[in-house]
Amino acid sequence: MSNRSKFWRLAALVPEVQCPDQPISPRQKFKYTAIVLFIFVTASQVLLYGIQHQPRTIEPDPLHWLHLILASSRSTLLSHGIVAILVPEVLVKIWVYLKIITLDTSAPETGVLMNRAQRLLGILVAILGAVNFYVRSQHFTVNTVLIMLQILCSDIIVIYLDDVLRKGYGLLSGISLFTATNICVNILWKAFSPMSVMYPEQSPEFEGAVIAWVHLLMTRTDKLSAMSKAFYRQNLPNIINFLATCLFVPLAIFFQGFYIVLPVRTRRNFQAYCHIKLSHFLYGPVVLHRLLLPLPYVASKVLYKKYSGNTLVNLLGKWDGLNHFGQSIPVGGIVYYLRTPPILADLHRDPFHAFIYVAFVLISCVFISMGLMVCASSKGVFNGFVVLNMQEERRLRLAQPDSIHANEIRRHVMRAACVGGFCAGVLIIFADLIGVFCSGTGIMLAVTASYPYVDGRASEVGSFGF
Amino acid sequence: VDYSSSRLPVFHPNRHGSLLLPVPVLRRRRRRGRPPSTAGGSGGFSGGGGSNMLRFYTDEAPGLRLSPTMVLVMSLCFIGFVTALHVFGKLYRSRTAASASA
Repeated sequence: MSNRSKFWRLAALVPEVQCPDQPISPRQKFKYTAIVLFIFVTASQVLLYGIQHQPRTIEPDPLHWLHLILASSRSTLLSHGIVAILVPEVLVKIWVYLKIITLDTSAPETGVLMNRAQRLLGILVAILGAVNFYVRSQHFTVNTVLIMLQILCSDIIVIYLDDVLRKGYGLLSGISLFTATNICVNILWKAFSPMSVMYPEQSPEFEGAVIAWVHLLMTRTDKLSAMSKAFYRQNLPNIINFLATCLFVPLAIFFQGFYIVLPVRTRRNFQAYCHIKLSHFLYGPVVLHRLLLPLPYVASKVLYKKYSGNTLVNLLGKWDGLNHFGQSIPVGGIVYYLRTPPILADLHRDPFHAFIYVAFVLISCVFISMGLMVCASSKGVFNGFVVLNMQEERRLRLAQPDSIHANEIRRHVMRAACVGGFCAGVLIIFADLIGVFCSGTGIMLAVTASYPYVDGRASEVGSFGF
Repeated sequence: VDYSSSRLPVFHPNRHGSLLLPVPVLRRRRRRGRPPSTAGGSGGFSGGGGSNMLRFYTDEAPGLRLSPTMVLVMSLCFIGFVTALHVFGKLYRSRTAASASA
């Protein structure tokens, strides 16, 4: 009790954004959201002062997925992205589920204290991020202090921007807004980037797929060769990737609106209908699948670089960087089979690899979805998944013979969670095979994060869709 | 009358089981038990309890509260400050380079 009161007193010291005292018009909400987005995008472009800026290399970093989800840009003010608001939210949810924190829902100030506790944890994460930079640089100069202060202030700014949006001044929650914006900016950049990449002994190429296409058509005399290169080049985004992205976005949007109607028999023996929306089960598998998958990748890569002769390390993954434009790509071991086949034609070359990859993605998505469902129901968010259409009860129709009891709703929701996880896995596999920009996971993340605004649930949805 | 008014703060913590409320009440009781400030303690007890009760339920929580405009202005000022650091850093480097070359 004393420790709790001390913690709450410490949490009470954290300033927070005041709630609006009158309802805000949608115009003002849009204005606030636009300003927050402008601040976020600008901060993701401003480089850290005092850091040694290396020229942009061709090799992509292995934590590309993590940067997408966390909306972070390397060597800029948003080096850590939304870590300072995502980690506290996930930690608090896990602690509530594991009974480390017991929520007293009857107390009116529980929400206030929980919010302040998350702010305090966010500030602690920001401090840890700044200290982490000092540990990595391993020398202490004025530049190091400046960089640590910049990282700390940037993370605190992200925390309070999210607080502004969360208090009702914005359209979406901060996590969804920042992640979706970052992914959309990345997609547009890959399609229309005017940056040119220099290759040794070759002519420079534009990074954007559409601009490269136009440039190749204008400069090359052989139109067929120009079209072939623009459509099928492997080192940079190509037109096939662009068309695949245009195809995949409507598909992901269609999946968002999908729901199952369940006939329910109420306790007074009347007919009611239960809408189970599959979109609620898509966000969690999408995020967690991409958060957990890079872990064996990074471990295998680091181990292979140091102990490439070990049998166990070779069993985990063999890496080769010679024939892949400088990128290190797994060519053997367990990690190879968990990797997406790069082209659709590889399904025929290595069917065993394709089968293992498909099975792994589907099974892991289903299990993640069911796990998140268990966490959600323990928190009391169960009602958010199931929309009981009680208006039907006004007509006082008698229950149909095939209606299920209200007690069985949970079992059907778990079944819907399996279906949702399966659909998420199918979408991830399909998107990765046709080679969309920023991976199918990123696009589904952006669509899932933005859909609550279209659906009218903008202020209710936190991260992970519930 | 005093007894009925002082009764209210004691009831609410038991009903709602909140985490913060018992602390001020216990503090007030300890102050009330002290001989030198009996009358002042009892007066402070009822007044403080009432104001604390009102604060907990009407205002969200004690502490510094920022307006969204303040948050946005602070963020823009910080980004402008870092950008200015970049600009002055480049000017400083160009001046030192010019002096070194000369």
